[in-house]
Amino acid sequence: MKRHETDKLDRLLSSRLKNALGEDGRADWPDVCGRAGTSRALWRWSRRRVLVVAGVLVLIAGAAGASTGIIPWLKTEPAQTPPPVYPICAANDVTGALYLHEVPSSRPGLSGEITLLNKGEANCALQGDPKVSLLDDGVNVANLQVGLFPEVKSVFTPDSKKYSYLASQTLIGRVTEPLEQKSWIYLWWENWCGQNSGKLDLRLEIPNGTTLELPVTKVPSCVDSAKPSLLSLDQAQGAHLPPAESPPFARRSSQTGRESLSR
Amino acid sequence: MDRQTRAIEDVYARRYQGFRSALAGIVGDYELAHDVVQESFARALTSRNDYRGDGALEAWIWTIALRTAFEMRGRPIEQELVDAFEPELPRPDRDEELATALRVLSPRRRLVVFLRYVADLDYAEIARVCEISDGTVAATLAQAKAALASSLGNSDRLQELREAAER
Repeated sequence: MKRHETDKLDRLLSSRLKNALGEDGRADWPDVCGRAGTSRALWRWSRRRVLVVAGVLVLIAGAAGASTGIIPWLKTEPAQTPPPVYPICAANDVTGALYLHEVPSSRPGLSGEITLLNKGEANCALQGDPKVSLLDDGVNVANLQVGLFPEVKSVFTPDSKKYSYLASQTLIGRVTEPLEQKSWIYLWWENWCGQNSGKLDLRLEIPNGTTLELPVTKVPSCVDSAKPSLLSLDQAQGAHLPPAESPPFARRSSQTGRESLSR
Repeated sequence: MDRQTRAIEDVYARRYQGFRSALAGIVGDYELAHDVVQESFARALTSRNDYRGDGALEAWIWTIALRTAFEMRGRPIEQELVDAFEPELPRPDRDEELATALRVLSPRRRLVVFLRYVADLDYAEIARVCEISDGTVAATLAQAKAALASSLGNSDRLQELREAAER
């Protein structure tokens, strides 16, 4: 995405949100000072708190009077739907593109997206973690540290809390599917102090046998040459495709095992 | 009045409206938002000596504000800070299209959107305030922007995404 396009969308969203939220409030610094001056251990009874507590008391009184002895809320978990099983994408079917861009941040770094496309005949899935490395004119860059975002456990295994019916796979829609059905891996890259003398590529080795070499068009600024360059990957955002209806495909059993993320 | 107090008062004078608007979206209520702002700045005053100057003062106050909002919800603490809110427009009638577009986003994405576009925090500041990584902020915002652009019919953005996807 070009920088000016980002700025345009950013300005649009900022202006629209501020218009929708804007409402004159009453800045009241003496009140802040008053709150800071009183004992911090004491509960301060603002008008809102008084109203909230009064409301809760009314509700409790009402509930007690209307009690029927029926438990009003029984926590139940929905039945676990078995995960769908799509075939693992064939190595030749997966292709990708890397896009890197600057973001407004006091900490220098580049935000990036790897788009994964499926050129095959059917929708398919990926599992496991990729190996990631940087190639400078085809030679592995040694001073690179690759990892996952702290909140992420695995690249190609969606969070089951977020994707209840996609508990074990990251689906990739076909090239012909709408944009929203592509799969994305977001990344964060910082501290690049390499010479960048030649052609720089990001190599992604996916457990299904796919190896992608994606041209790097932009590098983050050098912050500390004594430290390695840091590249972090997010969990892949899978396509939101309907659950597979057929029983497990034969190809699934031939998938390669999980590989650890390493350079 | 010491220097730190003056600096906090200056942030309050300049940014009260930004704090209140963003917090109104985060907690979904203008009056509660005002209460959170007041309480947050009061806490900032009493703990001003804890501010080590290793980042913008406003971002430091935002970390206090989000924690204060978290505590003042009156519900038990069960989640991580970044997933603890259900941000929304308190007055959806002001921009129903935007309100609908926001509802499609996950609560985490909405929180990051409000901190970026209403509170005007940068990526590193949002990461610090929400206790998540810079990369997660960037990824969350990228996804939120794509979804909002799609919902709000921003064809330029969609075209850009398409071009990036096909490259």
